[in-house]
Amino acid sequence: MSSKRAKKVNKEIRNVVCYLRVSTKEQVVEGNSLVVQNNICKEYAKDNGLNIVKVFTEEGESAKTADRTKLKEMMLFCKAHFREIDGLLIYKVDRLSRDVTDYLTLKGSLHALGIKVISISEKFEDTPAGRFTETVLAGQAQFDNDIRTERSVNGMRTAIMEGRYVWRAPKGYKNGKVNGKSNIVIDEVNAKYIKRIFELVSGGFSNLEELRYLMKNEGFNVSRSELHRIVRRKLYYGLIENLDVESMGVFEPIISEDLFNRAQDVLDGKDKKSERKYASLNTDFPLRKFIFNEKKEKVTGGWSKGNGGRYGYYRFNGKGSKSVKKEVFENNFKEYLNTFSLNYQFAEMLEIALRANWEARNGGIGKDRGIILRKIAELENERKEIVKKNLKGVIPDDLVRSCLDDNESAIKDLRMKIFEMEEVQNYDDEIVSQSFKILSNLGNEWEEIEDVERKTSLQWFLFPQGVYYEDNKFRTNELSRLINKKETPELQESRNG
Amino acid sequence: MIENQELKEKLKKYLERFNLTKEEEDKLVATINYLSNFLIEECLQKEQKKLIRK
Repeated sequence: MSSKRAKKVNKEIRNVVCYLRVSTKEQVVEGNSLVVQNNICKEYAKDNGLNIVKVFTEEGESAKTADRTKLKEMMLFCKAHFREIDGLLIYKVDRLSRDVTDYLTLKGSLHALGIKVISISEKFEDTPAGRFTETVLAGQAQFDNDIRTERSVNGMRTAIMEGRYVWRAPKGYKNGKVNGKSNIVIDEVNAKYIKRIFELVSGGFSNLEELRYLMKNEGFNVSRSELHRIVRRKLYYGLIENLDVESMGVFEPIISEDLFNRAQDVLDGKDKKSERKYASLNTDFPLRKFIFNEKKEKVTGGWSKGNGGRYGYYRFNGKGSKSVKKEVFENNFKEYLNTFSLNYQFAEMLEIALRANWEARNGGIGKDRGIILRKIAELENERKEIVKKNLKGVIPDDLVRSCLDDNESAIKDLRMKIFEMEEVQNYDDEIVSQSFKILSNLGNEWEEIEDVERKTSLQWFLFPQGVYYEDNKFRTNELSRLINKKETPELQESRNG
Repeated sequence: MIENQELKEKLKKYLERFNLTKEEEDKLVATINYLSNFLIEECLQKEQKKLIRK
């Protein structure tokens, strides 16, 4: 370390900062470990009379990018203390960066601050030839990295061609070994749900939101986006697609290709509608893209300015369509909705579902209630004990009063908790009556819903194909089976008459 | 607590009279389940609004 260059360095450089780095993979390679890098830097500094002002240690970060926590900290530190710092000590160029552009940018920024980069294991003079060597070394680091990346991608491509899925297993599978090589194996618990999802979809169950609820009730809880990914994942019938390569896996498929294709047919028919549904989400205009005219043009909504105010309106996309004031249009729709109510054939079923789902939500209450009742019994026994001990003269009168007060207040609190729990449990009657009330006033209730996603969700649930608007009147081709037209007094009269 | 399976069976029993296919039956059970959960949420929202107003 006591080379000619080191002596030159000593003349110009006194205070240095050290930057040490290991990526996750490199931590096992002894030559690059943090301890080794640290020791070499310390030894070099000692040999060359350098003073290490601060050490920045980066663990588990790749040098492919300059977006590293400690590197950024180090650069900020150098900027703040550039007057006191003369050099940056690194074990090797590739510790600073494996990207030539990043390396030269970092070096340039440090150079502008008057800070030199000193690589201990690679020596380069501050001459044209030295700078050339330095750039070549930085290029070598990038080359090594590129080769490594290419090897890894090629390895993954080979794995695909061999029918192996080498990434994190998706739901329904778990990572394991097939024929002694890394692959995915069936996760019995979740695979049955995946199969059930495809069976339901291929059977016509295309409303993924309803499907999500159904699966949740059956014990398979997935997010909306996850379910959307599941129903489109070819991996479930065995096809691996990645890195521009596709191949049939040697792992066990969960479903057949035929079942997958049937499900896609159903989804593709429905998907256009789903897109409509999500595209139409607009907090100001819930009916956008939900209502159609006789030419099948969708309604759109917007704001116009005039007379010092802002006015909302709905109009159909086609030419010559007249605008309808937002309030009027929505009010007409509300009135249309009010002409429907629950199909009473299903009233009993709905009540059962309401009670069961309410009970399921508050399932823990029964258990907690038992614990609290036991606690009350214990406190009541304790109360008797206090009185007994007082009578025997063990607890004096002045103390017994405060003990009994504490005991009584604890019992009171617990009884209050029981009362609150009973109220929640008994709320099921209220839920049922409220729900039936909602269903008998669908329009008014729809108007009151503030969350636009819930509002449009209800619209599509009630009218799966949307609603037509013609001659200022609404009509629909498909209605949810759970609702039907309300009986008007005229209808009742004509039936009775 | 009523098991979901138990609820499903109960609902399916009611649906016997409609003479439906298995898929239709599953779909209707899910629809009722969806509606009941939607309504429960709506009731809770209303209750919350009432409390806020108080």
